[in-house]
Amino acid sequence: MSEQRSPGTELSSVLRALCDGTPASIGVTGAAVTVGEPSGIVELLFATDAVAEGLADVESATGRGPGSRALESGSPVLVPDVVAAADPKQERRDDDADAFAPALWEQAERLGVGAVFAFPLQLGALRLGVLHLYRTERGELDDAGFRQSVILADRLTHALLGVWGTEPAESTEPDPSALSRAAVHQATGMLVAQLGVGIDEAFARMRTHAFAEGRPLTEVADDIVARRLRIADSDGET
Amino acid sequence: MSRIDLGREHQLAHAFVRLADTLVSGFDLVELFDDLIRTLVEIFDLSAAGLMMMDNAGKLRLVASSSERSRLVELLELQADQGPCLDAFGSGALVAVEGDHEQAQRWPALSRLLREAELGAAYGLPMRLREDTIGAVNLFHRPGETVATGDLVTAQALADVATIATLQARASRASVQLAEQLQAALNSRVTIEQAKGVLAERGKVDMQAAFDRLRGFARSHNLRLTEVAEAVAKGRLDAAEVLTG
Repeated sequence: MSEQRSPGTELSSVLRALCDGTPASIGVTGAAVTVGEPSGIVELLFATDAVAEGLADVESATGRGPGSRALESGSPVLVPDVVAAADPKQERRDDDADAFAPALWEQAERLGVGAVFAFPLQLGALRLGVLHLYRTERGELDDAGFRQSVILADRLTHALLGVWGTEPAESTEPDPSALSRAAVHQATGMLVAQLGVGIDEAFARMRTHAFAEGRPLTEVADDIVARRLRIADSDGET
Repeated sequence: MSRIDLGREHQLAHAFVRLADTLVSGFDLVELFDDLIRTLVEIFDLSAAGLMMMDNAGKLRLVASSSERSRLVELLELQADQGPCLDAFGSGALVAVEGDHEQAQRWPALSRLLREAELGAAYGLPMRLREDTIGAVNLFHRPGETVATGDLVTAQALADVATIATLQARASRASVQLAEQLQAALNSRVTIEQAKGVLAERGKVDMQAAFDRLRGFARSHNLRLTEVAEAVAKGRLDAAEVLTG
């Protein structure tokens, strides 16, 4: 995460609004949102209930669980049966569960959790955090639930990147559709090379620049790709 | 070119076999789509082509284009809102709009971009298998030229094989859902764009050259395009290494 987007109360309320109604629409019991790398500091931004929070806490402490795996691989990690996954005698098709910390399964069983699902909050190679979902009953996430989860993960990603929902009302309209433009991602990559920073920082610099100039992100990105604009090391200056 | 010209029938046969091969071997959807688009342009001597796929919100997103020219990319991106891709996706049927006048009436914004990019007849081919429509292929010819009906049927057949390969991958790995695969392909496209940006800036080359280097490096090292792109974007693989091959 970049300095200027450090999650505050405003962001928390946006996340709360986004996750409101999630359990019903996805078909799960609760949800939590964490940011940060599995190897580094993981911060819990939001949880719908104490069980979701408890699960996220155990995973943060051990650094080994579905969320960490989702963030590393960039793919959702679905554990439809926690009890079976925790049983060392159980035959498994993949080795995912083996890599998870036993403490996580103990906690999950103790809390009466049947299934857990983790979705990465990501934009290409940029990985921000994880959407954790749990359900008291065992079973797969159905197709509609899966799609809703991915849509929610996208919205959370947009909120964390500051292109959706966290802007003051009078500013340039937040525009998540900008993220479907190739030029925005090409420009991010160019800034990675120009500034020698990580991909998250590069995106944040471009967004900050657009915000400071009151211009749409896509316009700034087009200028960077056309090499008409260079964002210098000092924040937001050309 | 030192290669012997095999003739179009041979080229076609090879293309079908290559696409069918992805049915049995592990593959990267983005590479499969990229291969399909290049094959179509080459075999039918087209001006340009693109492929759009549905995201989880039901909106079309660009996943492959025959050239990285920003003008073409923008034109393809616009098709999320209007054009032959959207119409073919919506109807599940082939769409052909060849005349300037008809294009201007059906898709005013798109027809302007088509003329600017010096493109003529436009076609949309649905990527559909029974009840599943996952996206659409876009073909463009030079102004004044059209694609023969027989060629469109063959192009649709190639698109169908790619669609079957995509849906087949889901059936063969029960736990992996189609939505998950499409999502991965869309994210992979974003990663590739980020990596192209890194390479374009480091090597002072354009986006087309950046993509070609990325693709060339993946091929020559027998790596998946997405893997290489992610390593470049995250700085785990030095851009200079990819740029020099």
